[in-house]
Amino acid sequence: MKHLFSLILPILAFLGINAQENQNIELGKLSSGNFTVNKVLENNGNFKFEIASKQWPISFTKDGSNFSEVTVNRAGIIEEKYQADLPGFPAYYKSETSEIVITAIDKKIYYYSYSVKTGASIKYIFSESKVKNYADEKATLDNYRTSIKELQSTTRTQRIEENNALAAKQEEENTLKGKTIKSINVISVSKPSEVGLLSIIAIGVEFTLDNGKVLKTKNLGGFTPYTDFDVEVSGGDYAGGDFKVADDSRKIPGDKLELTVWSKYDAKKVKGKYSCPANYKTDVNYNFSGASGASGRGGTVGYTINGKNGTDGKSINISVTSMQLNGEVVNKIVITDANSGSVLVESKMSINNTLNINANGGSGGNGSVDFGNGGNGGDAGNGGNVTVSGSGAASLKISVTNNGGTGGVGGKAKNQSFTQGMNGRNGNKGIFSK
Amino acid sequence: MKKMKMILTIAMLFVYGTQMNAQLKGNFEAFNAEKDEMGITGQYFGKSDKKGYGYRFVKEADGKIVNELHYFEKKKSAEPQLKLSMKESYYSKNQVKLFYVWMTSSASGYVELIEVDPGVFAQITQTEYSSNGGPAPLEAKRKVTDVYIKDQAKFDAWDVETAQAKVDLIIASLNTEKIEKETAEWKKNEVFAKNVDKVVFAAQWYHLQKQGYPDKLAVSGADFKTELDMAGNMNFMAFFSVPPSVKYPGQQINIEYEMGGKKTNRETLRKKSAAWSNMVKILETKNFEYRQSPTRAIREYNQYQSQFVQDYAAIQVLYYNKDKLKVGQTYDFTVRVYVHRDGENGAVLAEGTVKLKYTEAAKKVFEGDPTKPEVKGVFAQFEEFLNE
Repeated sequence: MKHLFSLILPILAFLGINAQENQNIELGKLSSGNFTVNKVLENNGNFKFEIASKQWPISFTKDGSNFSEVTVNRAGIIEEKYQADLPGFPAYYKSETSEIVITAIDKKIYYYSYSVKTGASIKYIFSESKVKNYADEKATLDNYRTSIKELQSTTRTQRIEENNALAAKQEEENTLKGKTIKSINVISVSKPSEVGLLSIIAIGVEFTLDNGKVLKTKNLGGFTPYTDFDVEVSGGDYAGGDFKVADDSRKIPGDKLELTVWSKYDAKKVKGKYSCPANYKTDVNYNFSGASGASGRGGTVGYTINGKNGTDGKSINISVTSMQLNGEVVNKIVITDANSGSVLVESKMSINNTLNINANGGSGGNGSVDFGNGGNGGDAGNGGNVTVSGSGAASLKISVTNNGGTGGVGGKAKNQSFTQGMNGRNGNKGIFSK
Repeated sequence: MKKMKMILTIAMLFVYGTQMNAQLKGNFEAFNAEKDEMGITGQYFGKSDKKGYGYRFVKEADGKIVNELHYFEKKKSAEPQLKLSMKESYYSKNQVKLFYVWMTSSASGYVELIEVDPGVFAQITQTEYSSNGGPAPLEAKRKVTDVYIKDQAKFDAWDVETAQAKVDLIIASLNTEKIEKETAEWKKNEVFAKNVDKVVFAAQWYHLQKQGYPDKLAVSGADFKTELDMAGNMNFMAFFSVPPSVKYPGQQINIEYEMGGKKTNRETLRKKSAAWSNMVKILETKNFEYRQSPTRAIREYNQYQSQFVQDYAAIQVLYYNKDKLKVGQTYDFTVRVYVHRDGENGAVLAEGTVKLKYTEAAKKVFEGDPTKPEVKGVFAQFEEFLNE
């Protein structure tokens, strides 16, 4: 036991000497003034210090008994200000716009960046005393940062609790739970000028309470969560303050968007409504491209060394009917599968907008590298055929991309006794007729 | 420039630290008689070796505007040892005189001169970026290796560190302007303008961000979803007004998930145990260097790994709600991306809500398929992890 105690005693003594002090104490050992600059030089991963030719002014600002700020006047020409990370028990001084932080330990001021993964990366040490080698100085700093973080826990927990209390108060003040709602106003954040398929319209909600107070959603500058109310939507979906218009005009009854809102916690279900006509003044994009083939993966269940074939782009017929909507000319567009005749999608679009169709063939998968011959590349799919007809065909602005896919590349052999796999066939371009 | 580097290195070993106590005489005094519109041409002295060098600004050559800085180190040579090009827009918009040359296409072959004060040039290297047709980007870490001074009276005022501080200041100013310009450019794209500071969702990661385009918006947004089937992939991505690596350097990213009044976040769970720490990796702002975050998943099938991968913090929130889930119902699921430091969240960088639909297929995925009792559901697998 005596032997064990004699081992522990020096360790305890060492720990006592090196007990970590917070920065209010460490900076108390220093005075503002000019400091010698020990600059870190790096050469192929080796670090050493070199003394710069000029001293730099560094000052410390006190707020009561705490040091609130450190100012480093780099080379006397750039003033950099760093604030305490945790005012009551600081471990370092930080700037919101720089990765650099400042810590003083035993009258040495470290100017460095810090990563929780790799520790400190020292740029300068400002000190009148001699600095040690880079590894020792980094170890001192890393050790300090790790130990002081533990010691900060009480102060940090207190700050977290204070912040949580503020957040809870704000939440309590802004939730709809337990509140009596007098009326609901549903408002678009900015007046939408182009409302077509897949448009996004920011819509906020104001809840007027029985005491006259008005609660608002975040997109109107308030703090009431979007998850505190239920919605009924026609013509699209609503989530997180955004109304997203449907991707198919069959889902927009009466060519208008409607949103009804009520609090989840309101038994009376006081409702607010929003309605907006769709003018279909947006471009419409549809993708009927084939899928790419998977690359070869020897030794994997469900795969071989050969790339799989890409599939063909879908062949489609586009029927266009010209019509009037709210005094504007729009085209009603019905897209059907050319093979089955089934309707794939319907849309409406102003004659000034463009219908973009992609019906490319999928690329073939690449063959995999193998110990024998390399895997063959998969064949690519052909582009789909696109045919446009109907009373609005002449006025329809359309852009069609229906190229054949690219054949997969044959995989290489791992040694010269074997050969590279065959490349897959490229797909043919589809036919577009209008 | 190789020769110059070698000379400088040797000279630094012998001369560094000595004081100027006499007027230096160089071989390029005749340059001082020349005038140019930039006020550059003249004889300059290297801070490290005190030798004289000739700098000549050349505006035109062969009938073309060239705006070059010609650098001479050999007295008898009519041809300069280096011709450096000027980044014209930095001068026309910001009055910054930056000249550069790529001696090789690799990063180590880059040489740059920036005027940090009238008649004072900082010589700069960088080791990150290869030749791109112009100067090294503003994000490059520039290191001042020497200072060239025309007026010997300025020798005491300008050392390498002072020049480095001034270069950092100039680059920071150019960078701020560049970022503001880039943000304005991104906001011209409707998809970004309508989703900035938001989290968006999709059923495939490539509907959020085109592969190989982390710094460009290359999707139409048509496949962003407001509702996702819990049986399938549930991917998300954040849009930032300014890249977090720029606005919050040296910090971490934390992601919070909330559903049905229950919430948790990656950092809280990561600190619970070694098992959680292994399962939830640290995210740092330095890896969020664009206006789009890397695509992430609540849960998705990874083709390469031939299995589902999931964010365990998100699964924890689903698990909190497991007894409330009913087939056919949708549930608001909120994702918030925070900047994080030392166990505390800072600003909310992005937030979004999606409706998760608990379909018949989702029930089988999460609670297990009665017809395949050998395959465990997500919740059973998660319980095993919790009991580790």
